[in-house]
Amino acid sequence: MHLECRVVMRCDGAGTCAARDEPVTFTLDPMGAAEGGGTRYLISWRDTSAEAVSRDGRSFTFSEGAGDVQTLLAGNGTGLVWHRLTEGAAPSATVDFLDCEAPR
Amino acid sequence: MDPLNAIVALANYVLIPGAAYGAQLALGALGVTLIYGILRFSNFAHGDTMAFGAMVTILFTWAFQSWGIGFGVLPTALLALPFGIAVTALLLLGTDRAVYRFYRRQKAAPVILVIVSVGVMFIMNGLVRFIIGPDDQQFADGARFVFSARDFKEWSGLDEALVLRTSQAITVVTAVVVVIALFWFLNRTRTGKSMRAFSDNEDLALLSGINPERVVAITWIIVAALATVAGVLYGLDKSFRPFVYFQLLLPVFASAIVGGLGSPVGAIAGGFLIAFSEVTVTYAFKKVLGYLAPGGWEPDGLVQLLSTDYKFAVSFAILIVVLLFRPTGLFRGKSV
Repeated sequence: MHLECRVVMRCDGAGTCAARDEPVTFTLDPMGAAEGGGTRYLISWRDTSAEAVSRDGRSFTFSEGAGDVQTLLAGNGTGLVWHRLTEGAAPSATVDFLDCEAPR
Repeated sequence: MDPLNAIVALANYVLIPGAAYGAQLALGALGVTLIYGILRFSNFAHGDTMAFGAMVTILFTWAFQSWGIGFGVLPTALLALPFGIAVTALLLLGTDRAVYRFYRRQKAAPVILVIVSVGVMFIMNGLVRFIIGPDDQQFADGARFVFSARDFKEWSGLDEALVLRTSQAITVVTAVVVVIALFWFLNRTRTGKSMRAFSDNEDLALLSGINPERVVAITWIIVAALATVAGVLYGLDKSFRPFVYFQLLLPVFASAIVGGLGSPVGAIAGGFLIAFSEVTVTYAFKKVLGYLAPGGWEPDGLVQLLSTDYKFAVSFAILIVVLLFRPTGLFRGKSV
């Protein structure tokens, strides 16, 4: 499944938000059943790919490596919320609000 | 087997992003290699010069946008680019006059100039963050896609979608134009030839009447142009955050060293080698192999050699291997 999205708003962990207009395209391909229930997906965007897990088909959790947690969450209609948390000495979080469409 | 979809999937996540990133690294590495070849030191401030050039271009872009001046489907940043280059050139010429010239006249060892450049790097880094702030800045406008996933799927009828963003296309085209212009300048013009002569043998160049201060000044101006173009293209393709340019220093240096310090062709080859290595090693090939494998042989795992957070380690590993087995780089640059 391809999701052609546009980041329309970016907020930091403190809740400060700014309007944006930035394209990002996700591809989600099912990989089989996940341990403990749910489905594993191969998620790809830009030049990055990772394994995502979804329990309900509406939220996808994935990571680019140690200390990184990301969630793609279905919103209303064409909206998606993309949350990224970087853990460590100075943890930081970003929340992107996306407007998406799934071609074909 | 479905090789067409495999090629499209590979192009979408490896070939196109790798080519764009490679072009950005190649431009950055060209700046590093020119300074090494002509001024004879490794300029650690190059990443922050890229950030400074991109920052000035962003400020002009915002000004143009607020005045309603645009560039149609192309990003307004391309209109602002000459202004960014001019201001960056002034900064580099000013830095040379205030800092580097003193050490040049002292005939300081290259290692001293390297340490000096680290100091300049910290000052430039602070300057950029002081002016524009440490956060992510957006300045891209114009058409976002040359073709989108939807366009491609409708046109091709394939399962896989190919996306070509305008920033990626502009990056590759601009890099090709800049590289051709640079090589033409270095090989065909009197000034370019004097720069190469100065690089090959400083004493002989001085004896033949070449003005060293002019060569140095022109080098800084060219480096300002290369750094600004590279910084703006990177910012358009990814995003502009000052600290990212500091991190970019490693792959940029790796590209220059892998190609052979002082060799412009090597810098370009090194840029693409590092970029494709980073992208390839961290890409999950499951999907591509799934299209290529006979039915039922599709791999279960991601088939990803390294997790994405090891991206920078890839350039570091290549750097170490090259330094161990071929210290002059792939194109036999100056020994390091």
